[in-house]
Amino acid sequence: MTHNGRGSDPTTDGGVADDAPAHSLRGYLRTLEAAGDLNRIGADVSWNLEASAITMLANDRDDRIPVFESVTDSQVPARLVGDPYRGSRRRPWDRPARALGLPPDLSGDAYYRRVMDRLRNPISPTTVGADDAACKSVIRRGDDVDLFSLPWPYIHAADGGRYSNLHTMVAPDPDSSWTDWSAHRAMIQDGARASVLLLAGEQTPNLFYYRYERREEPMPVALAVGVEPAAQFTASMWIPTGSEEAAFAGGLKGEPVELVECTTNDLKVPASAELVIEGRILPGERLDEGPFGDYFGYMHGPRRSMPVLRVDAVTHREEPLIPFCVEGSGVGYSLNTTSTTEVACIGPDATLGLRAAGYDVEKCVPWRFTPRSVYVVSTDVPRPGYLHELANFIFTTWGMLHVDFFVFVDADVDPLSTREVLEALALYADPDSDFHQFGAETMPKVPLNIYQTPEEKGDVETGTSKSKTAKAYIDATSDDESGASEPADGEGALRDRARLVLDRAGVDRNPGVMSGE
Amino acid sequence: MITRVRTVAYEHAGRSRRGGTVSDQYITSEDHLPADTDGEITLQVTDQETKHIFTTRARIARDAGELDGPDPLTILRGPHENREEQWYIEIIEADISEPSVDEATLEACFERSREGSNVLTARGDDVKTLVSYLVETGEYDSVSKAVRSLLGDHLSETRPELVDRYVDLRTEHEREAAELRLGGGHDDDP
Repeated sequence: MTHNGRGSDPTTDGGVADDAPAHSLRGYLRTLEAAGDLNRIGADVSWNLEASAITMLANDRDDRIPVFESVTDSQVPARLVGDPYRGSRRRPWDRPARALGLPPDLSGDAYYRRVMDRLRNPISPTTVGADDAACKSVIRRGDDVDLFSLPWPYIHAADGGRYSNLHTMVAPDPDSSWTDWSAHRAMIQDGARASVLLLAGEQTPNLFYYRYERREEPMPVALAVGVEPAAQFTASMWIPTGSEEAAFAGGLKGEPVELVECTTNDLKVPASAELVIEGRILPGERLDEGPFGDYFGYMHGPRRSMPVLRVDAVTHREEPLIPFCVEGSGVGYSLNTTSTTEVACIGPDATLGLRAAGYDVEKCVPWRFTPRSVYVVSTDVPRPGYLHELANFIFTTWGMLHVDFFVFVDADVDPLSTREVLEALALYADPDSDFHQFGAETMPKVPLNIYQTPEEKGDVETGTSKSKTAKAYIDATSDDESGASEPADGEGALRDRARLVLDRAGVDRNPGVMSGE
Repeated sequence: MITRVRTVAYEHAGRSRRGGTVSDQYITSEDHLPADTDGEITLQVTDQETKHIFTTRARIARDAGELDGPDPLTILRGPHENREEQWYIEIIEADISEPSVDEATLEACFERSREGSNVLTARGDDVKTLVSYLVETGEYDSVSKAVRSLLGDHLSETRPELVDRYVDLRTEHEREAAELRLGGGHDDDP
């Protein structure tokens, strides 16, 4: 093990100023602290369910972001951060906005516009030397590596193991200069191995299964844990195959992201990382992965055989911060990092993607109550069959393993507004004619879903579902070519009654998304 | 039945177990249990305290009294592993490296045995003397039966993963052959 004495540098981590993007996770946390949004917990807390329980409570109560300063049973004096990017319930994008140096009180519309503007202008990364990278403060390699010296959290009762689930996985295409950034959870097995959830159909898993493993070659990878916010957000976005996430992270941040070369391979990782796990995913080797309480909010089995990451080195900052997400706690009204990232980052990115493909959509927004399962798209409907064509494009071109169905609403309905979307569904979606099954049992489905039986999901080597499933979309557009939004006959009274029912049900007319700016 | 995610009950937050680095309680999945749980087995277990996952040589039993040094072993059952069964484990050797099976070599050996001679030859005075003794004292009918049985028993105990993979391979070939016959095809179809 080597120590080079480098620690965090408050002058370079960025953050505290309202209009500056955070250059690191700790810089972002200082921004939250300055805004009274951080809860530093000094009492001893265990990585074994306790940190996740407190985080789940904070998520449930819309409380401050917890940082666990004293984690018991950890050889390395590391700290845990529970769901650092969770947004506030009434304005899910406010903390991501702070992270990116945007005003936290932007309206949803304005926030989406600002993020899309930034993503339209990628900025290439720069490279710094190891001496200038805080993530190289401590270097452990070979036999000196022990993953269990770090306090990886045991997140849900009955999980198959302890997890790193908030990191950026960096992996290279063996046939080009492209390097993919992605997010795939890793279950810690022993001191030097982890099993990684690689579901074929996604970019990095495809690189492994269809290129490296077929050639019987190991895939070099790095898990960069606790990277700067822009890099963290970009790893979850749908950046096209062949495009560098690092450049989009720069665009999102508004300035270049700094990269540094790994110690044991030639991959480049965000230099801002709190900790980097360097290693290889081995061909032909599998270990258990799961069960894991996943984003649906349920414990998910069965355990599956997944590829094995063999660790060659771990480098980290002094007293590194290890962020984690309590998956499953972001359903219903409460948010977590996953559901927030969906709304605040993947939504604007998907909107841009649909526009780039020639669809005149106003906004594509993941439905915050069911992260990754339902998306709402506001759009004009210029011609008959347009919505079917749009759904076909999304499901077949983008793959969309996770998304089960779309809700299409008029362009003047704000998909960020719960009230407006529910009202559109109540007023314009006729169960007889507007609910469309799409691709009967022909669409690939991520096996993390809870409605297929284990037998239906199958035990497929490449990690996808054995059986296919159907997808669906709901047409909740007004179908009114004249532009009038209200019928002239007695149906008007029925619609008024529907609005009254929504009022009585407590569906907020003004959820706050349009205020500000 | 699928269960909602839970960490610990809220009222217990702050009082979870801390302390030692290694526990004397273990967890495994029914997926990892061999068909025959009698005698010495190789088993993947998780240390309940540290969550280390490792493969161990052990004996297990439902009744603690059947083992010399029993530690609790929770066996998780069901597709979502939400049914628990209490067993006991006596660890003989902790954290053994599970030898891997070289699939290509196994398949090549399998093909050579099918297509070529299946005679196994070996020279060794000691082995021949011992095996002959077992035959002459009536434990086995013949030298060949004794060698097959002893070698099979030994491999089942020491290399269960190799035997399992071989049985899978043989079953696969038998199924393919049966399909060809039932489908009216012939092995030598062009």
